[in-house]
Amino acid sequence: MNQIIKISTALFLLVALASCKKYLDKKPANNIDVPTDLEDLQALLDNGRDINQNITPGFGEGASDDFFVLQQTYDILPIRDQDLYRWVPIEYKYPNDWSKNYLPVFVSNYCLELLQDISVNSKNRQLYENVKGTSLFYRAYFFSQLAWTFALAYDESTADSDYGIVLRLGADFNVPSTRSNIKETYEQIVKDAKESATYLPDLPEHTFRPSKAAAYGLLARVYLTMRKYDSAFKYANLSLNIKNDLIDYKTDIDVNASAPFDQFNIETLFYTEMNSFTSTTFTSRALVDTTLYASYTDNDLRKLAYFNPKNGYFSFKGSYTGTSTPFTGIATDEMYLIRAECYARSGDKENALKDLNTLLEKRYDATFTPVSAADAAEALTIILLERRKELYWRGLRFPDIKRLNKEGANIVLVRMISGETLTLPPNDNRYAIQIPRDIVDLTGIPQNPR
Amino acid sequence: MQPIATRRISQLIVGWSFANSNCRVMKLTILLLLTTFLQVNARSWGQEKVTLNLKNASLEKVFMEIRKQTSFDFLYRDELVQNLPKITIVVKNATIEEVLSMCFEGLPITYSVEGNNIVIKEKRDSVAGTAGTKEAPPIDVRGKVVNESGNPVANVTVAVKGTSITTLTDSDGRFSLSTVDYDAVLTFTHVGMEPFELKVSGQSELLIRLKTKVSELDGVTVTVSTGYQDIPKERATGSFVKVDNEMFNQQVGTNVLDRLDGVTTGFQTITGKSDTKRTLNIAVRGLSTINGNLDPLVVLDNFIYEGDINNINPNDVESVTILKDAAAASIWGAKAANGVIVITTKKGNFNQKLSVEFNSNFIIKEKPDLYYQPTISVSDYLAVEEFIFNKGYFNNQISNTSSRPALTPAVEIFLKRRNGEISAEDSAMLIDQLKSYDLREQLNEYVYRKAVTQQYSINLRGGSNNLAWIIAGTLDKSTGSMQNEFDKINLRFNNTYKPLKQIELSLGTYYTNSKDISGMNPVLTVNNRYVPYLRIADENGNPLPLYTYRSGYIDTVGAGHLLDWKYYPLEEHKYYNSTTNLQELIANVGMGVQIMKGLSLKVNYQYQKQWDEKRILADVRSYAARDLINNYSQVNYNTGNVTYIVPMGSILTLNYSNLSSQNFRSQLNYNMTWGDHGVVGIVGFETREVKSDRNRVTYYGYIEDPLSFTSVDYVNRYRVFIPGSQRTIPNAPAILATTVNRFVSTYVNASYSYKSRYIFSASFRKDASNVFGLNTNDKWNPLWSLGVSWDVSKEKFYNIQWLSLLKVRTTYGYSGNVDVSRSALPVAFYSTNTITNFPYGRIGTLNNPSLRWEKNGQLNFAIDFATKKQILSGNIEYYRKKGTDLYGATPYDYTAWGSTDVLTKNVAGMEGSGIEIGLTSRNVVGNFNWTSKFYFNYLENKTTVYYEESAQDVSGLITGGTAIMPIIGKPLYAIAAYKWAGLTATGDPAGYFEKQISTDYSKIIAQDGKKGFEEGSFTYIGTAIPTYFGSLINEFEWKGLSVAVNIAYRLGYYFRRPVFTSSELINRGNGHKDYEKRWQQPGDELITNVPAFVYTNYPQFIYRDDFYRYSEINVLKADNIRLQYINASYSLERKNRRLPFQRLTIYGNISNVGIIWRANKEGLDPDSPSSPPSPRTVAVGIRGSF
Repeated sequence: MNQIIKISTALFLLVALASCKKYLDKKPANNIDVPTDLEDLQALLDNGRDINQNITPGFGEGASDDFFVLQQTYDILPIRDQDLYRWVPIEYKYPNDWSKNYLPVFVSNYCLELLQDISVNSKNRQLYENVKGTSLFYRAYFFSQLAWTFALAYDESTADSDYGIVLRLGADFNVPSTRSNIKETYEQIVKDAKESATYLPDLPEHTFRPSKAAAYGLLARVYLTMRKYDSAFKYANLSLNIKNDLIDYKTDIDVNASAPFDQFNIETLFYTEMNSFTSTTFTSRALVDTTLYASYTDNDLRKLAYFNPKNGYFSFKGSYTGTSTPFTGIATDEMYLIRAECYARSGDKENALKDLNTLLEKRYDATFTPVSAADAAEALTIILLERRKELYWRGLRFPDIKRLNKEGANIVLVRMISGETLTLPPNDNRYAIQIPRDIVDLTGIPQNPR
Repeated sequence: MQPIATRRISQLIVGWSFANSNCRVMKLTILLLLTTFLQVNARSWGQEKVTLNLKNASLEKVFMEIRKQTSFDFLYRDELVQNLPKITIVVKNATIEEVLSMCFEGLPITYSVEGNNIVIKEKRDSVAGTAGTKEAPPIDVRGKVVNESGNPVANVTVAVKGTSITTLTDSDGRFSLSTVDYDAVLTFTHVGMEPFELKVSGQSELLIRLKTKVSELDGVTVTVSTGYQDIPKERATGSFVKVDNEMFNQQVGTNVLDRLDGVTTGFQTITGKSDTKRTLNIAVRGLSTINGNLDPLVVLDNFIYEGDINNINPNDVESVTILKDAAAASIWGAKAANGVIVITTKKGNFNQKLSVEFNSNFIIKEKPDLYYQPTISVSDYLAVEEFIFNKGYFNNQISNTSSRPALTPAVEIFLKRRNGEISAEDSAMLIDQLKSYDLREQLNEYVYRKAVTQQYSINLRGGSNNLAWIIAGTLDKSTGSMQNEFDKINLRFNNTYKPLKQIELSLGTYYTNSKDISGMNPVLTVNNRYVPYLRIADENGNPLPLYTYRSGYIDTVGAGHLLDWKYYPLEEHKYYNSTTNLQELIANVGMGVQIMKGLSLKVNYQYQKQWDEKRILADVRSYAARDLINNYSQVNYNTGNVTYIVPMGSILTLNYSNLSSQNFRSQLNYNMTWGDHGVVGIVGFETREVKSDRNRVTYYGYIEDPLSFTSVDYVNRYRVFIPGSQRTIPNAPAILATTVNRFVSTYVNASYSYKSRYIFSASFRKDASNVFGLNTNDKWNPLWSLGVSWDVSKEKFYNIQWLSLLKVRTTYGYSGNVDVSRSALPVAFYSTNTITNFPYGRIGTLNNPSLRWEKNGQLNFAIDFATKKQILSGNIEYYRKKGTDLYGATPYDYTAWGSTDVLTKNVAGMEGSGIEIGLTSRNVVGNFNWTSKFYFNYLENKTTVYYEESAQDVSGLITGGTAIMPIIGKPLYAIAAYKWAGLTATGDPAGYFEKQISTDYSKIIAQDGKKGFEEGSFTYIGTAIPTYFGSLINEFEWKGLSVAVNIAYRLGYYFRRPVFTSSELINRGNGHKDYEKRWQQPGDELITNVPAFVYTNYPQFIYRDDFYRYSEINVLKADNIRLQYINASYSLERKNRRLPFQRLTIYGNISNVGIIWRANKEGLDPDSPSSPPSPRTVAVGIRGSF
């Protein structure tokens, strides 16, 4: 009997006292981890689904003049999209353009913070620099997208009083959000983009990843919106020096196809797509502005490659995503147009037209004759029209309108809806889209004035 | 009905004793005693003949000779025969009776015959017997209690009359009492057995055979199982309900949980809800959580069951215990907040004769009623289709050159007419032809069948004195209503072996293999549009094709180089099928050691593994394969060459998922009684690991024999015909992560009873798990319970004669709810990006170290009662539940992260309360028996704490009712609606906006829900799950014939009825019959509430429909009473018939019989308002044992 007691006690205690710490330290799944090392960080930055696809804001496009919707389409729009279309204050909450575009910012900040604990050596230098450059690039890229949507146009004279965006520069979610001014916003973007270019490789392994060419492209874009044309020129030029490929619409694509362009085509420097929160940007709903459509001549292959007849009007089919989702990334055609514009603005008509014709030659059929202009000013007018025609539906029209109105272009947007005619005058406060209601409520940051 | 009662029931008392020194003899005697039980009753008394020639022999010698020659054995106390004179006997072919009467002549002993035993007793009037008792010293008494079939009875209260000495029998029916008076009288009481008294008369080893109480045959419970221990229900303070084998078998379905519906309190089947955290569709005492897991915990015998509940065959189930309150359930700790369902399987017993049980039945389920939902006539439908065609509705689809949507047959005709390809007369004629078609008729004829299920099961049980075993096998075969098939085999083996008296070893396995083969499942919409005149077969029943893309396009594209691109609804299942093969093995080993008196150790280990293989084969002839091959084909129109990107051939997709669990438990049991005191306790330690993994692989160009397949390019994009863009080949292989969840727990549970009328219980448990990111020390989470019960009727002052039992119980305690998907560090999930082929990571949660498990406190108060002779018995329970630390979404500044707008924290709270009444009334007792069982449940719940923003926005309830929607102060499933102001003079629905009648629907809908119901456009309706529910079961029984009728009721809740809306009809082709009642001309608004039919260009077209759909006039009271099932059976007993069976029962069952009463006048089944309700099933079967 004693034996049994002894054995049993031993047995019970053996099990009860066995260390359960190790047993419980087992990871609950082999596909999860607390990201810490460089490979982990690179993987976070390679999350294309959250960073490249379905991401950039659609509010700007939804408020722009590149499209219109029929009354019957308008009637079935969500209230927010109707309000956006009519330029009245929009009320909305999560999820939205704001939340989407701050996610890559968080990932960047998280990586940048962890990089501080990782020492660089000859073995990991390349990866380290790619992680650092990518993080800085993403932060700059998405800050620029946010600034174009939620802040007014950059204006040197009022830049330190106009509201910028929330510049989150760390991953700690306990740090409260505050609004910067426009000057701080753009300074941060430029600083991050410039620094990123020093780390990134000339060209990426995949256009889901940024590169020097893309960072220069971003800087060209941002300086252009700041109307700092010298700098814009410099970086467009640097970008084109690395890569200047163009698709020849005559030979490289089937303009009649329902989606003529390949995803990740040779013009793409950095790939992003517009998100789908704003349903007016769906090609099933948006119809091309009729005046704009009429401005494409019949020998312009873009007329076929970009548009599809729909209900007596035309809808867009020419996205560089190869699907109906709008492409909003950086491409070489945009760089040509920025450089051409900057040449023209600096009075260099010849070089401006040279860049423009290099591009257009690939866009028109064999009957194309090179564009000429009386002077640089006329060249600029032509270039700006071609810019609008070439970069259609890329999320660039809204910041362009803002910028060009600051240049005195006096672009007045007009909508006709339910028998009413609505207009949006130049430099209106409504060019800064309303920040989500819940963010204003939670953080107390000021709402864009109306 | 009465397997035991009608058999010959007797009470047998055997006593024997022997010299304490002679241990070997004792053992032998016990062995003998036990083995005799196993012998089959082959020949009967009086037939066997004996021949003896003994001179001067002891009686024992005589007995030994008789034993040799017959099948009879002798039981006697040694001292009873030792001192008797020797005898001489010579007989030839005498009966035993003759021999014994010769032998016993003049001796102070007599005998009786019990089965194959001849029991030697003292003569009652014997002077010698009483002489010794007077001065006899106290003795120690041991014994065993068995029932009529010789099976041990546990938890019998053995008391020494006139003293306070009591004890309980253990699971082998054994008990022992020390220092009992030589002629003390023992009383044996047990809830399920007739009480019995026995004079010890110096016997120290007793075998007591108790008679089963007649009331027990009606299913009164004996012991309940918590999965950790078996407790006599009378000693429990907590709230347990047990569904015994008979009740469990009143329903015939193949799912264990389905059989619990309507036969107990506190259990509810949930219908029509879409919560993702619910997989079992059942609830115990309603809800305990808002965002946590909603399933009660299912325990199979000792351990948590992780597999598919359909794997458990009801025929293997002995009984089910439902643990409802904290005292009952908290022993299961962090997973018990939703209640626990303990399934106890059939087992073999020690010292049990071989018994065989079989069951076979046949269940037929009617076709679903396709006409349940009233719809508009085909001619109305066609008129609408023509109207919207003329409005230009289909123009987008007609001109769509990317996705090439198919057009309905009528639209094709209208289009031909519009294009001038056919005349107006031709068009009218073709349309008229369509009017004669009805898709539902064809579905009834060609697709739906009566579903048939056959169940066969057999089990063999037996046991010797040191071995108990069961072997069982069951087979289910079903053919579903769409010719889908389901087969299942269960095999079970369970064995308990006692190598030594103190040691018990057990081994068990349970194996399941099921096969689920898909049948027809035709897709019968055209471009997501329901078309009532669609034809799937012609007049002769030949399959007709259906265009899934535009007919003109797929007929010509590819210039004849492609495969047929049409879909044949009646053919597809021949070439496309999925087979799911599921196997499960549960193996367990256990060891029990009796350490010392009252203290034992039990160590158990269980391994479970479930393999699930889903094999989808799309033959090259199937539409699924043809569609994919065609779409990716690259046709060179000049040469006619076709390059197949998706190879020509069949497509095989294999999905594998594995689930395994390992459980280990080490537990000390203590059971001791001294004087008025009794203690039963357990203390234990357990670990559990659950592991799962999944993967998927697709083979293209698959040929089964000779086996071959073609590898494909998943990386590059290829231009596809539809929608004309570039795509990669779908279904690249994928391995999903292996997940491992581990738990470690320690627990104590003890109850103390005083004078068996005051019982106190307490339990304490700590759980820990490897919830990722927490430190081990922080993972421990203590949960506890306390309980007390008082049997008032056992008090001396109690003198209510008619109420023989009155007991009050109350408990309080906490259980938990764990959701292992919640985590506490910035955890990233890793995978590979299919576009770039780079590994990628995605942060899934932000750091939240304070995350804990949910806690649910429950207070239970109960009264158990029974009138004299158990004419009326039952219990009433009242409980309050309070969920604290519930997972709740808390808003934060998502500028900081963006991936979600809320973080999960332990911030939410809810409350629930309920009343349960269970009554059993024996209305008529005698040859004819009529028993009624009445179950009543009342339950309510509400959200008490949730984050401010959305939890106060009552507009969330407008579309609510089908999933949990936390709104503070409202039930978790609740319905609100738009206030209704009738139809306007133009046939538009009107509501209220800022207290004014309004038709500005977008304003009404966007009304700020945080202002509540007072001034808003909304009105609160009520809960969407029953507040009151239960059932009434009437059982009638006469001479082996018995009938049970279950009437179930569900009251105090609401549902939304399907309605007619213009958008549903125009966009989806779904036309409710209310279309005929629509407003058509001024004045109609006085007689109808159905809005006018309008086209999509109508202002606020969608909002108008949303407003109407969710307005208060379309919310109906859901209350209903239904005839749940009727069960009839006829049993034959062996008693006085020459049957090869012990018992044979023929039974029939009809379930889902129909609704007896419903509050709504639309004829809708509130549990299934928009789809055909579960059809009626009829079952017949036979069950027997021998």
